[in-house]
Amino acid sequence: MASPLPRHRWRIGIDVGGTFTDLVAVPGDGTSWSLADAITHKVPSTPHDPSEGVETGLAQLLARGIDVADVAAVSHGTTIGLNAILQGRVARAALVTSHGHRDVLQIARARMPRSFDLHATPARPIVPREHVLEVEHRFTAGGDAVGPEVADAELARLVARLEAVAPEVVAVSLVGGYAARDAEQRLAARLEAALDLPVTSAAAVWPEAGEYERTTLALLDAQITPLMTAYFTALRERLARLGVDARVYITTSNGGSVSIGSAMRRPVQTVLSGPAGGVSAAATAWPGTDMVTLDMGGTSSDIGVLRGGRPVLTTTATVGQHPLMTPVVEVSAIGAGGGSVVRGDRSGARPVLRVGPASVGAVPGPAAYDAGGTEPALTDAYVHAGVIDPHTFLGGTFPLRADLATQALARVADDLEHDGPRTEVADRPDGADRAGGAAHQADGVADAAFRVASAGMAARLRTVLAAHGEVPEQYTFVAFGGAGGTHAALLADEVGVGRIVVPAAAGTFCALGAAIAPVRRDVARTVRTTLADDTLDALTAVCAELEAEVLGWLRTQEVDATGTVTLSADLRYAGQPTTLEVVLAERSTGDTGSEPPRVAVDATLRRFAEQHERVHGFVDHAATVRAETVRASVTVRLGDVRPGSVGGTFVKTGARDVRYDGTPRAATVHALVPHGGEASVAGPAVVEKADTTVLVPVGWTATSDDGGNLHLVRDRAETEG
Amino acid sequence: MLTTVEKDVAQTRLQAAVEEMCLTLRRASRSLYVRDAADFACAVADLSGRFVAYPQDVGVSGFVGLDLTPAIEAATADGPLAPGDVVLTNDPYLSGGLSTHLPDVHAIAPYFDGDELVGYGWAFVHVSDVGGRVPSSVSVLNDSVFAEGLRVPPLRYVRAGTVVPEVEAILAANSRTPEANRGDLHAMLAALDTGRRRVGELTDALGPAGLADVGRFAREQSAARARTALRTLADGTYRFEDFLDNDGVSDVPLRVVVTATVDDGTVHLDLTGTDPQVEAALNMVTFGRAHSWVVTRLFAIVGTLDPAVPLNGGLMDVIGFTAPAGTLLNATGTAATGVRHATTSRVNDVVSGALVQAAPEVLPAASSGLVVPVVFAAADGSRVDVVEPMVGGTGAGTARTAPTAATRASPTCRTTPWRPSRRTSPCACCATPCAPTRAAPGAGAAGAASSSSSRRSPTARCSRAASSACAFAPGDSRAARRVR
Repeated sequence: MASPLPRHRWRIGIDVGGTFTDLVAVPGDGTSWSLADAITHKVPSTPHDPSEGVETGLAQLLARGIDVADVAAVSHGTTIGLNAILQGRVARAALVTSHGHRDVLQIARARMPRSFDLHATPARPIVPREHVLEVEHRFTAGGDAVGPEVADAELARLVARLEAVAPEVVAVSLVGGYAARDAEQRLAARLEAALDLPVTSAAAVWPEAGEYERTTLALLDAQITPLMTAYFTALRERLARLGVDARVYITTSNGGSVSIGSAMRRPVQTVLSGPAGGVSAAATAWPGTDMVTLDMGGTSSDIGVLRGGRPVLTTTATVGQHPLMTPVVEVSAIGAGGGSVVRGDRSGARPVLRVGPASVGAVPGPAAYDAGGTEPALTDAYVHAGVIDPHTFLGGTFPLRADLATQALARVADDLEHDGPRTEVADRPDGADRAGGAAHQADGVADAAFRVASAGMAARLRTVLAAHGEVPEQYTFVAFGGAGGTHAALLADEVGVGRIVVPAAAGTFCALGAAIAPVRRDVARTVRTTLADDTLDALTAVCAELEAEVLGWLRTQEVDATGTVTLSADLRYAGQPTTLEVVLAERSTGDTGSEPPRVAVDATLRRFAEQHERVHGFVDHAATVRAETVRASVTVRLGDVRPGSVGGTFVKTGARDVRYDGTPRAATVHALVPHGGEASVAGPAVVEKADTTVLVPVGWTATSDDGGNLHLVRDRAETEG
Repeated sequence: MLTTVEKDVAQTRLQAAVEEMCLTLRRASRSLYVRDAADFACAVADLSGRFVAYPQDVGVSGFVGLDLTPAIEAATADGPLAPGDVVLTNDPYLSGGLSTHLPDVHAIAPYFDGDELVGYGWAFVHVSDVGGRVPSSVSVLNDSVFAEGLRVPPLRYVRAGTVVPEVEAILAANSRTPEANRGDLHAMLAALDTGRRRVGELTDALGPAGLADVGRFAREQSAARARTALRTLADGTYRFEDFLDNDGVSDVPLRVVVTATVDDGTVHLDLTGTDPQVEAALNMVTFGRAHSWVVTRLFAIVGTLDPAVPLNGGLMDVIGFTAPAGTLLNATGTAATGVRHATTSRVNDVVSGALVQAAPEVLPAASSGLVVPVVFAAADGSRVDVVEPMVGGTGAGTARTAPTAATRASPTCRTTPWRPSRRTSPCACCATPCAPTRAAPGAGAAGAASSSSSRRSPTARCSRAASSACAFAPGDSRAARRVR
């Protein structure tokens, strides 16, 4: 990077992972740009104080030629809140709820996690029972207070009881509070003043019906407030030290981002932002496309679904065992990662090969890392099979030992054949010498590992899509993470996917997602009404109120660009247990003003019917349609990614034997160059990039675009033949 | 000859296929039983009539050990099944015990590779109503199967891809909810189509014998794992008995007795000594064979000790069963079966009571034993709201099985948020407390485990005391008053 970088306003995305902190700078002046313009940087993470790694990485990135005055925004994704919750390192919290409902957390939904498990236990309550206090204050479903407001004397008694619990934070969640936000917040404010502690009102965080879920959300928010406040404060100080006075955004679980001030006020909205980053990046880079993101890392592979380029959100995500009722980008684990252990499973009548769920971890890592690991991982199978070149792994910065991979895999073959019925993976020709025998044994294990891993991932992928009424065939894989490009085509062959994109910044794709995540805020209000002409005025009023709320919020975000306000409702046929979110109205933030949003009953019912037909396979024109929850979201995109046009080329750098389906094949090896090489590469081939190795099997052709993205397409003849 | 890897991979694909069948069914149905209570399931069987793959996470788990053979034999007495046929049945007696009460409608589709029959797809749904004396067809007071609604012997509902109109007409005429039923039946057909495609992919890859090979392999694997798990139980013979309070007609308690013999990873359940069948809907039709629905506690023990065990018919290979004809667990003639789950739930408790002696660290004590659906109905019958299944708590156990307010009697059901129930019923939910801890004598480690905690744990028998704390104020949701 000798030449000076072009003068831009820059938007910097930062993703703090367990091992590495990734940074990506992209042009941030609102114009369209190519992924090739992105500058990526990686530094080791600093778990004791993640903001330290952020400062180091940012300083190094700036030193590569970005004038600090040109930094328009820094957008930061963090899993600090998530990790704190999962590891139980959270503030000591107390809960105030309405009289008679102290056991709301104990009872939860009285549901067992598994059928055939006598030891299954429901989620441990998020705070112990003795930290839950009752107050004689509640509201009807219409939001009317039952009885008078909490008197000063009762408040004093409550405060005394709270002080006995000695909490660091307090959450208030009253019966009916979702319909009486102001009243619940008033009580929270009085408690905050009396206790001098952060007090979170559940109705302020997310005013939706569902007492267990809403209470849990408020407690999670309260529990991570001190930690997140401290972290964000430290982050601001470190940025100031570097001279960065740009706007700071924090990415959120819904695939968007919010100002750091917003994140501090409601930290729970950040907890699942990490995995959402890759899905957001795909949404911004390839709008309008049906995609499945495949993030294949060390311990597992995660997928996200984008229908028509929009991430599929869910309101039934969990953090640990706790429900998260706010809309978040749906990300599902589907199976093995590169570090998943390849092992023999002898629990049944015949030994079978399994890949995962255990992982060799970063230390010692796969056997090929030569760090003392003897258990083979899926990565060892790639190395043994010639898919990964031990000398060029990660751009040659990290030489691997193929012989150790082979030995480790061969030991699994021994385990599979040991005294049980003979298994075919252990077949070997008579008279093979010892090393040849080991190599042959390892061949069989690696072959089986690829098939078993692909079949397991495919099974989960199919069920995730089937739950949305979708099948894989029409989707494009967007494969990233260390092993995403390596395994994507094998998985695609298993499920019938015919198109794969391996993005330019596959190794820092989540940071890219942070850099380009739109500013976004969701709000919701429970309405519970029929959708008909005579309820339209009331519904429109709620819409206007919610629109005003998100626009008011947007004004605090220091965003200049115009965005979109989307109003939607969760609709269902009367008596139906599940709802569908249907758009009511959508308009530019520039068009909002004196006119209230226009909601049309007919058009809404039509959209509901269309969606219902697609998702559920039927329509009932006679049935009453009910609106349960009205939602508003404001989204402001911060510049567009220019779709890459075909332009990148390949140069052949070598050739080697690979085997990924039980047959050894002579494959060509290629690197990407901007100009002057071949326009496409036909499989069997391997494309080696600095951060990942991409397998192009027989029947697939790879091309590249000027954004540095790799496109794999399955040849038609091959699928039919 | 298929390799182990091929069979294993095919098993994984079939597992995805049966879950996809379930999701197809759920998507296409709109009845509460399917969507909310998840009272349905789908699976794939090979020619043995036993399941090769069964869904792990969706639908009813307890039917994993069903055998389709008797129902298929009954349906094919006058000729073999052809491609595109679908057999329907709901009658416990005429289906050879495939169905366990009339609202459970079972569908079987033969799957072919060309002209060669290779296996079957199966689906069942608890439909809303099949006629009979009462709405929803289920009442403990029904005194014979004829009071419980339309009996459908195994017959062709679909012939060569076309629904038989006469059958559909009879079904429609005998239900209070014909449209909902038709939707559920067609949802099953959609699921069976999904299964047909996936099994077709399997036989395309592995040949017509592929499903049988995979089936044998899958069942042997699971049977071996089940046997390994059950070897945790000490060999011996254990006896336990418990009672249903009464049969709803008289005050006489109904005795359920089990003598469980554990022998090297197999368990034989002998129900001899259990009371005779009754003139109430508490009977279970087993034909004296080990029936999947009666032995679910054994599946639960296996699943507890080996959580990853694949569910398929192989789990039945370690289970033996005896029940004399004419008793509650082997009803004959025309005895009513609508509320058979109350009886099998008690079987679960007596099996636990017997086997806790063989493995006290594995099995918890008996649970509250039942689920009470809380229903608010207007006096004039104009409005009925099923609010929620009110559950009792779990039984006490060791530290690992600490009791909770949730239930194992019906692990997949869940409570309803207060607000919707308040909104749809003219009634306020004023309190939902757990009852204080009541560790029964003899709960031993369990009682100690929960009481040694400095906290007041949720309790061994804990219920959502909605009924005692709520006042019913007809006509005015604002007028609800707390009962003190």
